[in-house]
Order: sequence, then C-alpha cells, then structure tokens
Amino acid sequence: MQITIRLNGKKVSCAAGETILGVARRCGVRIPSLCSHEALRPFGACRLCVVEVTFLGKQQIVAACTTHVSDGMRVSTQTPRVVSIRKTLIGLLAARCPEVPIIQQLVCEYGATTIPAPKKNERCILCGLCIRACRDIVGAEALCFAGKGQSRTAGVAFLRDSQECIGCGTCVLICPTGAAQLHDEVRGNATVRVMDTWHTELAVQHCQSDKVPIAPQRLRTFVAARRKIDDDFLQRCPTCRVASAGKPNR
Amino acid sequence: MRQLVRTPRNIERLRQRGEQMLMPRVPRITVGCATCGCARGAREVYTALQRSIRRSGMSVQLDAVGCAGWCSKEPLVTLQLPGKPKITFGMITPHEVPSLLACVQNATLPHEKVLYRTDGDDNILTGSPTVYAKGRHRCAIHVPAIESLPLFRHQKRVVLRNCGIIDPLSLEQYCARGGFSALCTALTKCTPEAVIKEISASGLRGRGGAGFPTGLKWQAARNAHATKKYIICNADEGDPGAYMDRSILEGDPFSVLEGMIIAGYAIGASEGIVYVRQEYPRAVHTITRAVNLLKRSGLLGSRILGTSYRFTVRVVQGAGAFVCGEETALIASLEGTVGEPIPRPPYPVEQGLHGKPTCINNVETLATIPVIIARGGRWFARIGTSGNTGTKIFSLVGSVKNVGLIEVPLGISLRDIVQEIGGGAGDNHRIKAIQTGGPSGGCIPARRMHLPVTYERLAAAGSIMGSGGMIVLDESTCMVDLAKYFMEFLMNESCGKCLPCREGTAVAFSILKKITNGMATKADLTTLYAVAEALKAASLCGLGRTAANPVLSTLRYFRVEYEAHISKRQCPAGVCRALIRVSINPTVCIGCGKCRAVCPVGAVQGTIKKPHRIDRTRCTACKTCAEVCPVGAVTIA
Amino acid sequence: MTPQDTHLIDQILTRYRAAPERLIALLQDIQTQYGYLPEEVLRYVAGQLKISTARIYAVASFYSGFSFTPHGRYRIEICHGTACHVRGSTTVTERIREVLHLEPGQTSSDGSFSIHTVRCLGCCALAPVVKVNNTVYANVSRQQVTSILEQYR
Repeated sequence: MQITIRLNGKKVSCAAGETILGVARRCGVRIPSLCSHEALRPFGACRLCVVEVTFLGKQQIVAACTTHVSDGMRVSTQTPRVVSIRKTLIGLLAARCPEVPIIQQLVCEYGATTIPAPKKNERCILCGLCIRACRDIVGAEALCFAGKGQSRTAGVAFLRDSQECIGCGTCVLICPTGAAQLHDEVRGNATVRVMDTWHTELAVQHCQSDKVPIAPQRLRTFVAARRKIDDDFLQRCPTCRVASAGKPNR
Repeated sequence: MRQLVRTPRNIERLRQRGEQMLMPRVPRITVGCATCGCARGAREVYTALQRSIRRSGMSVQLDAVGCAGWCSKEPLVTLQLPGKPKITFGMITPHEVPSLLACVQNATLPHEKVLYRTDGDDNILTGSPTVYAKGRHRCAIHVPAIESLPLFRHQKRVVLRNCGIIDPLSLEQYCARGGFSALCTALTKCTPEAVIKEISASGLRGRGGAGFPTGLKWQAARNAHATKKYIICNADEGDPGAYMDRSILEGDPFSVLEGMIIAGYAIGASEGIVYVRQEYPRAVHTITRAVNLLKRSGLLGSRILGTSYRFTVRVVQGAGAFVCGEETALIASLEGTVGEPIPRPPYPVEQGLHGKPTCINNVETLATIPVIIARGGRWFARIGTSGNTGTKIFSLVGSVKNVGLIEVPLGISLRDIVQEIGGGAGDNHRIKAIQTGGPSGGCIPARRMHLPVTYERLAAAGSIMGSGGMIVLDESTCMVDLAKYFMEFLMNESCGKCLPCREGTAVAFSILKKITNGMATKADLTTLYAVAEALKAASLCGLGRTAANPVLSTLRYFRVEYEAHISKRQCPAGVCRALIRVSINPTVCIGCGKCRAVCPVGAVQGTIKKPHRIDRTRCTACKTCAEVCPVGAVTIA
Repeated sequence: MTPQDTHLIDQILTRYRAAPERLIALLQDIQTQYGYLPEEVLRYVAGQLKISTARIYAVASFYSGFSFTPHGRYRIEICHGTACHVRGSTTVTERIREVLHLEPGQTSSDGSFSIHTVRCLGCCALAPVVKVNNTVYANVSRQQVTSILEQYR
C-alpha cells in the first residue's frame, strides 16, 4: 500500500512499517535523538525526537522513533512548540549530565539553558544503548537497568562481578558519552580486562605460543559455544595462527 | 457444597438455599469484616459474637460481610430479626456484644449506637425488591430509615449491590441476589456479538480512570484475530486515597468474576487474570478463594453451564509499582519483566500479553457487567446523564463528616456529594477544595462545587474522574504542599525510562520544595511551567503525561497561595514548617505544662502556672504543642 | 547456601521452570521464604532457569515489594496516601523515626524493627494509618506512637 506523508510541508513516499525518524533520516531532515541506533530496535526513552503530527484531524506530539508513518500524515519537526519542548528536555538532560560533550553540543545548538536542579554530574545519560546492544546484538545480556525513577542505573547484576559479561567491549563502543569504560591491566604474568563502569574483572586469554594477550577467556568460550571455530585457533594470537598454518574451520 | 453447577436449574437451587440464608427464620447478624472494619476491631467483635452465641445456645446465623460504605462508623453490625426491619449499629466493640444479643433475645429496641434501619432493598439485579419488615414495628420507627439519611438517599448502589449484605464467599447468597443469572442469559441465550451490543447500548465507560467506552474496547478485542485472547482484571488500584476496588474484591468477589467470564465470552478469550496489588492481602485472599470456589463448582473451567465455553482464571499479585496500573506496564509485569510502559500503538487489544489480544478492564467495570446483562443496557443508560451513563463509586475521604465508600449516578454535583452525602466538613472547618483523580488529577475549588461529576466537566475544570478517589480538603491543607506531595509520589513511582518523566518530576519536586521552604523566585515558576509542558507533551506514558495535573490545577485556582509562599515567604494554611511561626499567647496560657512535656526538641520553656514560651531557635514547627493545648493558647502564623 | 537451602529453592523452582514469565511470583515466593532476596539465591536461580542474572536483578530492584536486605521482625508500614498525608502522616513518621532512631527503609541493628513508608493501604477512612506486620492501627496520632511501639519492644 502506498503511504504518502508530508514532512515539513514536502510530500514523501514511504514504505509500510517505516518510522517517522527513519523517513526523516532518509530525507536528510535532522531530528535529534540520543537513544536510537540503526542496529537496534527503537527504545523511545530520550524523547528528543518529538515532532508534531496531524492525522485524521487530530494534532499530537509524538516520538518520531516509535511512531510508524500512516498515509496522509503531516509531520512538522521544528514548530515553535516542538522546539520549546526540546529545549526543556535538553535543559533537563544538562542538569543531570552537565559535562557530557554531546549534551553540551545540544545545549549550544538549541540555545537551551540548564534547568536549575539539585547538583548532579552524571556521565551516563540512561540511553540504554549498551544494555540493548549487549542483549540484542551480542546476546550476553550482562547489562540491565537497575532500580527505577531517580535511582535508575545501568549496570551488571548486583552492580559488580558479573558472571555474564564477556568483556567484548561493545558497550564501550556504542556508548555516546564515554560513560562505559574498560582498560586492560598487566598483573604479574597475567592480564586482566577491567570493565571499569561495571566493576567486573575478566581474566584475559594469552596466546598458547608467544604468551601475547588476546581477549578475555570468557569471550573465547562464548564465541566457541556459538560458532564452529576450533578452540585451538581461538587460543592463539593472529600471528601464531598464521604461523601454525592451522585451518580455522575443521 | 460439592455439587457442580452445570445448569440454570442448579443456579436456581443455589438461589433458593441462599434466600433461606439471607432471610432466615432465625435471627441473622452481620459484621463488616473488610480491611477497614478489621482495622477498627471487627474481627474481635465477630469472635465475641461467635463465642457468646455458641455459649448461649441461641439459634443465630452469623455472617462476616464486606464494606457497607459508612467507613467512619466501622465496625458495623446489622441485626436482622425475621419479619422485622434490619437495624444497623456503628462503632461496635466486643463490650456491646452482650447487649446486642439481649436485643435479639428480647426483640427489644437496640441502644444508642444505632445508625439506621432498612425496611427493604432494591435487589437491583433481579429487579424484584426484597422486603425485610412485615407490617409496622412500633419499636423501630424511631430509628431513622436508611433512605431518610442524606448519606444514603442520594446514592444508588448498583455495583455495590451486595457489599455489606452477603457473605462474600457464599455462592448461595450471591445467587439469591441474582448472581449468575446474567451469566446464564449470556451463555445460553446470547451470541457474543449480542453481549457486546448490550454493553455498548449501556454506554458504560471504563471505570479505571480513562473512561474509554467498554463496548468499543470489547468490540476491538473481538475483531482481533488470534489463537488466544486474554481478559485481565486490573485490580492494581494504586491511587492513594482510593479503595473502591479493594472493597468490591473483599465484599463481592463473585460479581467481578461473573463479569470476567461474560467478558471472556464476548471477546473470545479463554483465560482471565486478576492482577491485584500485593498491598491488599485480604483482597488477594478473598478473590483467590472465590476463584477456587468457582473452579470446584464448575463455573470456571470447561463446559461452563453446560455450554461449549471454557474459561479459566488465575490470580497474580503485583510487586509494588504504581506504574503497573498502566496497561502496557501491567502486561510487562505479567511477562516477568520490569513495569516499563511501551509506546502505543499497538494497543493491548491488538497486541497485548505475549503478543495476543488482551482486554484489560477495571474491577468496577467488570462488576457492573452482570447488572447490564440482567437488566439491559437501556436500563443502565437511563441512570446518570447523557454520555456519562450509570453510576460511579467514589471513596469520599478527608475533611468530611461521613467518610466512606459511596455510589452515585454520574452527573450528580460535587456539592451534593460533599454536602449532602458527605455531610459537609467537620465542625469549625470550611471546605477549600476537592481533589479527584489521584496523582493524575487536580483540585476543584469549593466555589466550583456546583460542577456535575462527568468525565468531560472534570477534565475541563483541570482534573480527571480517575478511579474514584475523592478527597475533601479544608482550610488546614496547603495547596502548594499538596502539589508537592503528589509530585514526590510520582517522582518515586516513575519507572525512569523516559527523560521528561524521570527528570521532570524530580525537578518539579525540587522547585515545589523550594517554594514550600520559602526559597523560590518567580523564575522558578516559569521553569515549573516549562517542565509541566514537557511532561504533558513528551512523556512516554500516562503517568508522565498527567504528572503535571496536580501542580497545574493548584496554580490555576490557588495562585494566591503560591505567590504568598514565593513573594511573602508565608504559608496561609499554616502547614509549611519553614514558613510558619508557632507561638504561645501569654494571655491565654494557663501554664499547665502539657506543651513542654510533649515538645520533642525541648523548645518550650516555662514554669508551672506561669505562661510558657517557645524558643524560636529550637522550634521545628511540628505543632504537637498546639494539638495538646487544652485552652488553644498556641497560635500558628 | 546450605543443602537445605538448595533443596528448598529447587522445590520452589519446580513451579516455575515451565513458566519463566512468572519470575515475579517466583521472587515473591523466595522473599516469603527468607524475608528478603539473598544474592546467592538469586544467582543460583538464574543458573537453574538459564536466564541472565542481570534480568533477575533488574526485576528484583525495580519493584518496591522486594528487598535485598532483611526486614525487621516487626515491619512498620506508615501509610503515606493522600488522606493520611492531609491528616498528619508526616508527623507520625517523624515520631516513629525519633523513637526508634531509624530512617524509613532501614532495619534496626538487632533486627527487630524496620520502617517503611508505603503508598496507600486503602484504609483512608482511618487516616493516619500505621501497620505493624498484619495489625492495622487506625487514626494514629503522634502521642500514640510510643504506646503502639511499646507492644513490640
């Protein structure tokens, strides 16, 4: 079925199942969003992507990331009301995370003012990207949101010593603010991957041949359990794999 | 009773047995043993009666019943002598048990705790009134008839038809009041479409708060195609100040279950779930027992009443989250995850529990269904007013003489509810405002009490109908403090997923705290309005979207109070501790020393028989001294 | 976890193995058994049900009905519903805090008392309401607090 909408006045053809945010990105119309990612399902938490929609005579403010397009919809992404709401949202975010660069950028871009609120200085914006990536892309499900409301925190079970974390670092990669951090540490003969934010440490696999650190052991067993890759291969570093001329798949 | 109920004739036999229990040839005594009653000692009264009856060898039928509605007079005991009007007493203690039983034995006029007499009742489900009193009874005519009391005269107890009258777990007594006749009619004489048509004709709107037409919801659920569908009874009554659903579950659980079975039949569901908040242990216990009784009798399970219809019910407890009153959060909790709402559409009727069509109805809504099927949708639609048909139950609490559970036709004015039924504010108090709709609602000022109670008029006035909590506030309530109270509640109950609600309620609360501490500026009010707008427009679910209602409605009607707090650092109602000054009037003080004895911080100074003084540097304005002063010498400014 | 604990939990788990979506009911059963949710038990349950500990932790930490620390032998619940609020529940809470030297959410060091401010208990006609375990006290005033608590000391 052909779906045609008006995006800021311009007619756009859409496919069924597209979200307003998806259509806007496709058309190069900028709608800010902090919790959406092309590799993950829409979450609808940051609400920065709110737009004004008129459909079947009703006018509403909706989140663009979780609203599917319908034929005849009229979407406005920058009405005074929408901009004003976005400014307030950014101001609220800035009150929680005043020193996070992407928030500071948004504050400048929208001319928002930090909403005066009890002093906070969080790094995490609670976008949930790390949690969703860990669960839906990696499949380790080591992260969760604990608590609710003002005590909502992203972390591992009991906020320390996760048994499910495999130390792959996807969380660090996807985190937009640098709140998720890890580093590797040498301790004597061993190497340890410290997931700083999740208060979890993982023993790192060393190459069987030249003792170079490769990756956390749990990452190795996780991959080995899910892919037909010879364990011998996984226990060698890239150089030694080539040197031993071993085949990756037997 | 181990006999299976498989035919309308079985129901008739239950009905006959129940009638003998409700109108026995021996005296019948009922004690209100719902949560309110038990909190005031009803269980002890019941046990004392039980023991005395056994010891005396009298033939008396003793029943524990649910909430009859006049909660401020609990424990309520009703004496029913054959052929005589029922006499109801209030505030009964175990001490009065001997004299009560003496009345029964001697058929004498009962004593000073008598409240009213009931000569008969509507028996609304069958339509044929029950008459208790045969002929005139000289001794009872001085006891006011129930319909003469303003508290009851304006009520129409349709949904509360059995509460306080029947033993809630007696299938016989439930049938004697017309119970399960509607289920018989629906399953044996109507198609599912015909049932939906009747509900639509009634104009019934969801009683949980949103007021969505129930017939439309059922139709949408019926239209959805799926191998499995669910009916969920939402008994997660979280609004502080509202306890209608608890009372129905404790006082007449079969009515809710009968409604659920009919609903399941109408939409094509085979499984029902009753989701009760865990803070209601007695209600959980009662509805669970009711479900088990229906299972054992065959009214739940396969081949209900001999038809091919199969319906099962299970009871699930909430785990303590106000947000789980929201439909998608409730479903999430049933799926074993956190109660985070999800964006709608899709609506639960299309994709709900486990992705299947799910119809969620409130307790009160479901308890209304049997009446509509038994008496007809048109009968129901004649009650109330256009677009707002039928009755609504309210928990009328706060600064009003008659505190309790009331049921009135929609369209009645707030004034009639508060002044006529409620009896007005207590002595020496003035009504200031009426709060409806819980944390999602607002305050209607006293000067607008002529307002008819309808969904639309309450919304236009800045509040909502809500689930039925109605709190009467007098001059001792600070409207800013109240707005702060609701915002703190919502801040603590926010699931935290979306930014506007999580941060917005916290910021709004901190601003309201500043105002009540006398530290706010005009700029803070501007911020408050901006945050309110973001909450209303950008929140993911209803909790966030309505979170600003209390503060916006109090700003609309009580702006003067806000200004006093901000510009003059004063709390006109004398509530906000940072802004009030407690002092002792030396000309009134008799020097009894009671204030000095109770002061928790030792701020009162003085010697016996000499006027006492308050040390302002220590005083925390807790006002305990004011509470104990026998001569009213403590002033609060 | 002792062998008795393992046996007990395994018994509770038999009801839930086939229905992992009843996680909340499972946690309620565990809390009824222990009075709170011990970390060890939750980790064991995650392993047995083959679900992530993080998922269990998210649910256990979200709902206010669950606790990771033991409650007192006498659980004092102070209702902070609207009717109780306008009738002085704040004052009653203050007094209870003074008498027991405990903040809401805390348990006394000897394990006898814990204080909790709760949302509405549904007894609004009796405001202010305080519940100690299964006993509900109606129309509680600041002055009555000491005599109520004395019954449990």
